[in-house]
Amino acid sequence: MDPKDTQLEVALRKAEPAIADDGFSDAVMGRLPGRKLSRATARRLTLGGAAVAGSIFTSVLGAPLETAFSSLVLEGGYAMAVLAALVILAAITVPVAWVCYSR
Amino acid sequence: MSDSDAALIARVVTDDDRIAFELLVRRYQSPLRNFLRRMTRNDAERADDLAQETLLKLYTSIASFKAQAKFSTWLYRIAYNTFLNDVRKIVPEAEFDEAYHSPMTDNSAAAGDQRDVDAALERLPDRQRAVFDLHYKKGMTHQEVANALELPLGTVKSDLTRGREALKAMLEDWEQA
Repeated sequence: MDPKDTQLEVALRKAEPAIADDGFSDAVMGRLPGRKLSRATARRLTLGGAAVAGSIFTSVLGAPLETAFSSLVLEGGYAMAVLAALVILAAITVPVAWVCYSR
Repeated sequence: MSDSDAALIARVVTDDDRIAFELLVRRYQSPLRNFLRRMTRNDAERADDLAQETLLKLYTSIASFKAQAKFSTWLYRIAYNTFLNDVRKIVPEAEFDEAYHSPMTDNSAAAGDQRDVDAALERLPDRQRAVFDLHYKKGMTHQEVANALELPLGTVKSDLTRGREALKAMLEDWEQA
């Protein structure tokens, strides 16, 4: 290898001097956007909120729904009762699945 | 034992852990600012502004970081793109102005050689400067440089070959002068 090439290689590979922080990192941290809700916290709040809402709906709507379903079954409206059950099941499972399996 | 880059990134992504992000900032501030000083031809103030912008972009996009990639490669890609966007805002290709650059303070003979090489490096085009800095100063392989700058591997190799020839020619001219 040409000595000039070697000399150039050595000069190019010479480590660069470290730059002192001098408040640079603090300035960056000060410019970060506001805190986001972490995914784990969001998940806990969603599940807790869903449980509370479900309890309220059940206590308020439980009795009228029971009456309505009973009348449908007694009057032979099985299809309607099954459809209503499926709608309720979907209303519960879709958001729960979304919360549990979304990344 | 210090946390790995991957462990710190995971803490930032899952818990928005600001302490973990600050550790990353402190770990990379010096090489990042050095890289941007090289890119801005030793304009320290502009380089620091771009370094801050780079780290803020890093923070907002950190969830998209692919764990199989090398963190530094990704960081320098953001930094290089931030620099290019800034250049496009100012002028297409600024003319080199020697008086504009900060003087070196070390007067030893070895420092003189290094100063010559640094001055010669400043005269290379933007892309070649980035390739040289990442390969020689940051110790990246050709492939890592290609990944960081989103260039074909052949382009990185030819930039290094042509750049070395240009540097040798400049240094010889200065010796004769």
